[in-house]
Amino acid sequence: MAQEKMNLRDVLLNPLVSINPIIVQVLGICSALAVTSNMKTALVMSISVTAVIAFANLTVSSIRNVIPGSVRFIAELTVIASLVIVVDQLLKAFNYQLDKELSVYVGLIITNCIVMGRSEAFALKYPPLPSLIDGIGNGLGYSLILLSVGTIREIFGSGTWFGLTVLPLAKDGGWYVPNGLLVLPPSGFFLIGLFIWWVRSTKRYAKQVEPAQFVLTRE
Amino acid sequence: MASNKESVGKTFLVVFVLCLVCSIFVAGTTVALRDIQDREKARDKQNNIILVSGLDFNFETGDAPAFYKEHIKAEMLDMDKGVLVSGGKEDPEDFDYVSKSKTKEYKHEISKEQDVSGIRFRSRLMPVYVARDNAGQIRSYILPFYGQGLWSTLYGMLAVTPDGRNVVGINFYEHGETPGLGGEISNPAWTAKWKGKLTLSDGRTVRVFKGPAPAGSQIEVDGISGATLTGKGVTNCMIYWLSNDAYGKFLANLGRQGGN
Repeated sequence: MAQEKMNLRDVLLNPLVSINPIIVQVLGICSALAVTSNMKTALVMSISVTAVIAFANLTVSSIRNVIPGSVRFIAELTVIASLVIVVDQLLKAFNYQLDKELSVYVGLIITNCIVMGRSEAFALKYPPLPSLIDGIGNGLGYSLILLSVGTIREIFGSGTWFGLTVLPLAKDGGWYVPNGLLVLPPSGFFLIGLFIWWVRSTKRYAKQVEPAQFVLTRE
Repeated sequence: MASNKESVGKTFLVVFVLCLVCSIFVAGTTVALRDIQDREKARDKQNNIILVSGLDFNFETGDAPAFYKEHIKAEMLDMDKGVLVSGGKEDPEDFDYVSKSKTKEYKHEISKEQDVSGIRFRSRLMPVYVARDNAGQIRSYILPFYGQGLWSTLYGMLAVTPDGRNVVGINFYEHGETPGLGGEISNPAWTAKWKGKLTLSDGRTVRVFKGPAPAGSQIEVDGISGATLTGKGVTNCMIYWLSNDAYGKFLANLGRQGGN
């Protein structure tokens, strides 16, 4: 596989839809549910996660030849945790208000399976440049889903988009009665489920669909 | 792979060096950003005080730190006597009433029956922010408080009228409640409903009702749907902090002055 010539464009673009970390690999779901009730938090979370994956991949890949196999998880996590703390500190310094809104979720990027997954699956095996690009690609794939879910949840749950009124709410004299379910985490679950369904039933992206484990037959 | 990469000594060395580099990186960022963070935190608190004070201020066009300096003055309140004291050794502007509540000097233990808010101690001195309008007239007294919500400790400010009878505003500058549910306590649309309520009436404090407050109620505020327990936490904060063990005496003193 390593001998095969790697196409950097594919490394960047494939994670957007066809091997999207959330809807195809089904990783990093928890934060996708938690921060998508409005766009501002979803956007900041997307940027933070993308930055962490990209730099974690870059760093892990740069030191992949000296990391002993027996402690590679610890080594990867050390790098990831350091990056996440730095991101959290930066947010605290430059956007205190948003950091307060995101509260624990920034810290929880450490446990985001995508970050660990990409370090383990890609960065440990490939040189720094493709690893960096793979990280950015996966971060963008994550962001794409977060922002899509965030758009639907904020518009139909609160009638706004990035805080700007899209559907005037009935309680403020408009006509739209918001769907309260959409501000709750389960709605993120339903939306992501619908995205997964869409991707898997689209022929172009259906490569990931496993053969059926059982076949129903009529007796 | 090379076998020497896997030896015990090498493993320890690599992990040690990696941890060292990472810790320097993390520590370096934290130290470098500390000043900016402290400034942001202080500014955030000042903004919250301006917001709750009932003074008119446009955050988009105005200079918040200058406005704060001009209109808000922090004073120290002696909680036992309920009077403002001046010239103490502590600067009320920087007085960290949460961490000071655990020191020997300022600790006041709250009895079990009174501690509905689950905070156990409070400081014997509390900063009170006095907001004055352009004419120099006192517009409100801003009282900091904190107490347990559902998941987290709620830190807030309650602004009261100069006679201590009515609420001017409330806001929560720090909490970890669920965004969209309990987190709505920091939504201005909700905090606006507190305006004009009585702080105390027949021994009951201003409180959050479960569901829409009864029409015309002077002390009950509409509850937030999906946030009953956070609302309870807010009510408990009010029950404790407006009681005679906390700001009650100060409010009574304000009321007496106002009557003159």
